[in-house]
Amino acid sequence: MKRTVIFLAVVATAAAESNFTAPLVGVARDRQQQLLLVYGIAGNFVVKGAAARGVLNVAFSGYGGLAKTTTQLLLLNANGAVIRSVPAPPGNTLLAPPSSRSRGLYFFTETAELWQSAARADRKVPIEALMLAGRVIALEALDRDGRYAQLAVCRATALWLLRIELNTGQVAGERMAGGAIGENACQSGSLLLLNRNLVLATRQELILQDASGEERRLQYPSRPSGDVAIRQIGETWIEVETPGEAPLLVRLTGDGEKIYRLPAAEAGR
Amino acid sequence: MMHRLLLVACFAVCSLPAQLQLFLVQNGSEAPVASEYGFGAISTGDFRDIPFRVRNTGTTVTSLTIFSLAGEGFTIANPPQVPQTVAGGAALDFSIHFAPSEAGFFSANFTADGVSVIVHGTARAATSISLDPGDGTPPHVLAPGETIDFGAVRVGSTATRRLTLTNKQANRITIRNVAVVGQAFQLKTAVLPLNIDPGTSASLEVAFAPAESGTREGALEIEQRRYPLRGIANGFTRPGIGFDTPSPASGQQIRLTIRFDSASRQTGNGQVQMEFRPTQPGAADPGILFIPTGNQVAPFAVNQGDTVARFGSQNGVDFQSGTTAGEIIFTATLGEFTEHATLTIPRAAIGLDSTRTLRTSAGLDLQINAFDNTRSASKLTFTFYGQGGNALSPGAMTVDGAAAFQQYFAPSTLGGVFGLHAFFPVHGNPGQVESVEIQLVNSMGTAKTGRLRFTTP
Repeated sequence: MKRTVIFLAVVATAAAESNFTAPLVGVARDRQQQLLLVYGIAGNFVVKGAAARGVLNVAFSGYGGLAKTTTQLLLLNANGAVIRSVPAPPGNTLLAPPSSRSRGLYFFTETAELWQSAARADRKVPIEALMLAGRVIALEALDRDGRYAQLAVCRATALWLLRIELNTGQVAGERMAGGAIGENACQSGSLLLLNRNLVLATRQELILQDASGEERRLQYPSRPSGDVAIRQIGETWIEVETPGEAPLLVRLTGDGEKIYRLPAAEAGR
Repeated sequence: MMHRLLLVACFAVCSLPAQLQLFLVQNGSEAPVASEYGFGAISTGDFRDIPFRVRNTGTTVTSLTIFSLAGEGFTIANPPQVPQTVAGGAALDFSIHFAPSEAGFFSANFTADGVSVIVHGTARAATSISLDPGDGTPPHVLAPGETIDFGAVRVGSTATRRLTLTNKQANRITIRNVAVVGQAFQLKTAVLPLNIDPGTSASLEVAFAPAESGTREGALEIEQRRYPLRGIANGFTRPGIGFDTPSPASGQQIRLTIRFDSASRQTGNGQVQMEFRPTQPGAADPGILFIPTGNQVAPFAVNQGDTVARFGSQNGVDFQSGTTAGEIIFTATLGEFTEHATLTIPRAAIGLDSTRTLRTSAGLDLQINAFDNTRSASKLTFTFYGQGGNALSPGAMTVDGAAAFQQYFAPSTLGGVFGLHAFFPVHGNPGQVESVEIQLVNSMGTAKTGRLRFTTP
């Protein structure tokens, strides 16, 4: 067996100035539709805004992100900075941020177009609406090899998970989601696909379903007064936007989930 | 000795050009005064000031060489300089002060160049009235129509003002009519009639006992004299500041509540303000803030009957404790109440928030997100372990990062938060490295990550 050597000389640079960074928790969106850079640690967020305004939706993973305005789709780098924009049709757009292994995905619900982001020019995935046979409500790039996407599709009141081969646009597999999420996601709430887990935000609670179908529930600190929206805003963070209150930030780790609140962005900060 | 004067000075008017004219000033407008002006009747010990104006009604400059008031009981409060010239259309303002020392009829002759007017008034025999303001300051004689202020009083409690009536006249004064107007005010001690002999005094008390919150007004009438009464009824209860954590520390989101011992008897608004005093001077921390507002102030509302303040739709307000050791001082203000509470954020060892350990073909990539609320981080120790769990050569590797940490913290706008990124090139097969343990030292101790397994992207 070859001996593994770690250069001690390099260790010294670990404490060098250039190796310190301001930890970026994620990129969130507030009620004023501002794109906010959230720095800090769990429970101590420092909000710097606004990286962009008029943002309707955002998804960020820590490796990069996507944001949708009325007319444009913005591509974000790992620092949350806008690096490119492409024209986008009006209406709802579903976003899946890039990961360490996969590119970002976005789906224009008005036109039923699925796109895969790239460094220079994005690529349209040749899917056909008929193959979907339903209404797409969430998507994610599957991490394992980056060749596939998973789409959450409502067919009548049932939630189906479709595995799409990104090169061909073909449906490589599909299954009906079970549990409370399978029963309710097409009726109400906001669904997020995250690392093969399903997260459904309802007015009552957060329901998390892992890849094995096991579900657990997370109560909000206070009951929302209206519909909630959920989005991924960091590698381990999701944002739950509730009406009239500071957004919730939920950290999902192997040890469980913990809920925090995102401070308001003070004007001029 | 009392003088009763009625002076006729028409001769002066006839012999000089009528370029100057006397006006009474009322609410900013002028009313010409012909030959006399009556101050009416006042009580002895009282006074009455009337503003007048002498105007040059001509178009040319005229001289003012005479400006006098002859007669007892009257004085000029602010006489103009004499001699002087008065331009055409220009005016000089002054007041005549009527303050009779004894009962009777008084008159005086006001004279200026070409102006002669009789002023007169009557004085009724009355006591002087002095007020003990109740705030420790000495009693003072009430001016005519002076407001008797009771200040702010809690609903359900009573404030009292004592008035002393002193007879400085030569004869006994009998007071038959004393009345208090206004629902919140009461006359506490007055057996009428009050007979006050010369050189003696009598006292009476007026109480302010509001049943409802708000500003209350009334009046005290003693014979012909009337004094406005005013008090503020405050129905708020003293606020108490509480927190939902028994052990505050950095990196927490904590809920602050404001409770009242008894239900509020008033509806209104207040605010709570936070001020951070770092243990280490100059160590600012922008993370210490109220979450709903994003700053150091949070407004709250109190409704009648509430025992806890409302922050929007919530019974409390969340704030962040930041990542710097020190004291957070909270100040709640509600009505006349100002309450303080201090939350101490103790110095602590480095707090680890998240780590990322990646194994690439080139080496080992580490990212540590943490905070040092003392900003005294120094040594870093990395120990790498092989697949068999054995520490890899050269064993624990320690570097002194004190200077680098200080260099980072000095301009940082994130409090004690830091992200440390380190990359270790590996000579050989990085897959043989299974995990790493990192130790971070600051002035309060050593924080350990435990063994962090490397993952391959």
